[in-house]
Amino acid sequence: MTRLARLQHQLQQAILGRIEMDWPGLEIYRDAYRLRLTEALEAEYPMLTRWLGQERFSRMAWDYIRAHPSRHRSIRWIGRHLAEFLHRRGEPAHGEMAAFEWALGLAFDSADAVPLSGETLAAVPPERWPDLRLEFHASVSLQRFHYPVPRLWKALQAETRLPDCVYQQEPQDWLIWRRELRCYFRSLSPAEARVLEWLLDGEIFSAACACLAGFDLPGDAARQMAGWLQRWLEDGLVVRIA
Amino acid sequence: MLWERPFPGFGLGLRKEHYQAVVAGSPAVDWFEILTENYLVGGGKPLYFLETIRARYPMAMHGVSLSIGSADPLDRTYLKQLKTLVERIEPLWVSDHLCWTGVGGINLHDLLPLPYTEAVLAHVVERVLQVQEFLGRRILLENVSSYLQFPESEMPEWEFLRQVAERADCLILLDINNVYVSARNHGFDPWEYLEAIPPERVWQFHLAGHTDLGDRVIDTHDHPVRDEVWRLFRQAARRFGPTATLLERDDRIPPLEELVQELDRARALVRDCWQ
Repeated sequence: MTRLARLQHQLQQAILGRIEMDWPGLEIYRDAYRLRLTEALEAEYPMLTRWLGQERFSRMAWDYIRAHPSRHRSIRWIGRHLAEFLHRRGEPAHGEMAAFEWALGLAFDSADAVPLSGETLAAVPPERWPDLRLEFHASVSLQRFHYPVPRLWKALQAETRLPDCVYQQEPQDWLIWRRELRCYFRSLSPAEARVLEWLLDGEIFSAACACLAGFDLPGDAARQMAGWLQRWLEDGLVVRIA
Repeated sequence: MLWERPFPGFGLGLRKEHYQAVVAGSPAVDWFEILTENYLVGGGKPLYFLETIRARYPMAMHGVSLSIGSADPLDRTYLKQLKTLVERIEPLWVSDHLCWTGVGGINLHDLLPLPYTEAVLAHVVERVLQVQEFLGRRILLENVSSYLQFPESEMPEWEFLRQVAERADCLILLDINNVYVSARNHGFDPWEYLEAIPPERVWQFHLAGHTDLGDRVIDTHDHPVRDEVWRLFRQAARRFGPTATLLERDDRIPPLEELVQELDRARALVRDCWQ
C-alpha cells in the first residue's frame, strides 16, 4: 500500500466514525459526513422521516450509515439497503415503508420508454398470443406488504390522521409505476399480482394464464386476462411485445 | 495565450427546485451548470428537465465523484457514464475537483484535500491524463475548500494546482469562495494564491456563500456571496480577464429570481474590468 493509500484509509476510518484521531479540522469532515448522509436518506425517505420523527430518524440513519457506507458515485443510492436493515432490526412496518418509498424513488428516475398502443397489440394474430412475452416499463414493480404502508404514506403526506398500523396475516400486493413524469401506485388482487409477477419475470402469455388455475376468478380466465391487459395498456405499463 | 478561452458569461448552478421556474420564465441567465451525478439515471424528471433546459441554454457539467486524487483505481464504469452524458448534452466543458472522495470502494461524498507532495502530484497528473484521453477532451479541476492540512506537504496548494494543470495540460475552475475559505482556515494570503495561477488555464470561476464561525470558515453554499468574496472576485476579474462566472447555491435555496439578482450583482461588479 502506498503512503497516500495508507493516509487516505486512516482518514476515512476516522470520518466514518470507526476510529478516533486527533487531527485539527478532521471533526469538520466527520460531522459533515454524518449530516450529509442523513440528509440524503431523508430526501429518499421523506414519509418514513415524518413517521419516525426527525430525531429518531437521525439516530436510526446513523446506525444504518455506519453499517452501510456508500459505495456509489451518486449519493442517490445511499438508502438502497434501508428496508432490509430495518427488517433485520425487528422493525418490519418501518422496513415496509422504506421498501415502498425506495420503489417510488426507483420509479421516479428509471429509464424512459414509449408505452405500447392498444392498436399494436390488437394487430397481433391470435395464434401468436400463447407465446407472446410482454416487456414492461422499467418503472414497474410489485411490492407485498403486511402493513397498510401506502395508506400510511398518503396520510403522512397529507398530514391527516394515520390509519392503524396493524399486521395483516394475508399480505396485500401493490403495483408501482411511472407514466410520463408521474409516479402511481394501486393495490392488486392476488390473481392479478400473480400474473404480473410471472409476466415481469419474462414468462410467456400462456404460462401466465396457466398460473391462474388455482384462483377463484369471477369470470373465465381469458376474459379476466383481457380486462387486466386493457388496464395495463391504458396505464402505460407495457412498452413492447416479443 | 495557449488557446482562446470561451466566455459564455454569467451562469447559475441548476437545481431541481428551479426546474419549473427556468422552463416557465426563461430567466436572464447566460448558461447553467449541472451536477453530473444527478443525471446519471435512466430517465424520468431529471433527464426530462435536463434536455428541456439544455435546448434553451448552454450547459457545463460539474462532477463531484471523479475522486482524481484517490489511491483507488479510476472508476471505469463512472467514466463511461460520464462520457455517455457528455455525448448526450454536449456541454461547454466538464469539471470536477482536485481532491479525493473516498478509498477502498467507499464514497464519503465529500471533497477531501490532498497532501501536496511530488509523489501525489505525479499520481494526480497521471490520472488526469487518463481521464482526458478517455473523454477525448480537457477537463477543468476545481480547488476545494479545506479544513485540515498535511504536515508532509512540500508545496502550497496553489503551486500544486498550477503544476497539475501544466503537467497534465488540463484547465482550472477557480472557486473564489474556496480560495477565501481556505486562506482564512490556513492563514495564507488569497491574493498570493490568485497570483500563482496562470490566467490562460482558468476557464471558469465559482462564487458561493460560506459560514463564518470566527475561528473557522465553512463552505456551506447556503448564503449569498459575502462582501469579502465579492472583493476577491473583483481582484480576480482584473487578473484573469473575462472568465465564465457561475453562482452556486446548494442549501436554503431561495426563489430563482433572487439568484438571478445576485448574478446581476456579479455582472455589475466586473463590468468596468471586462469591457
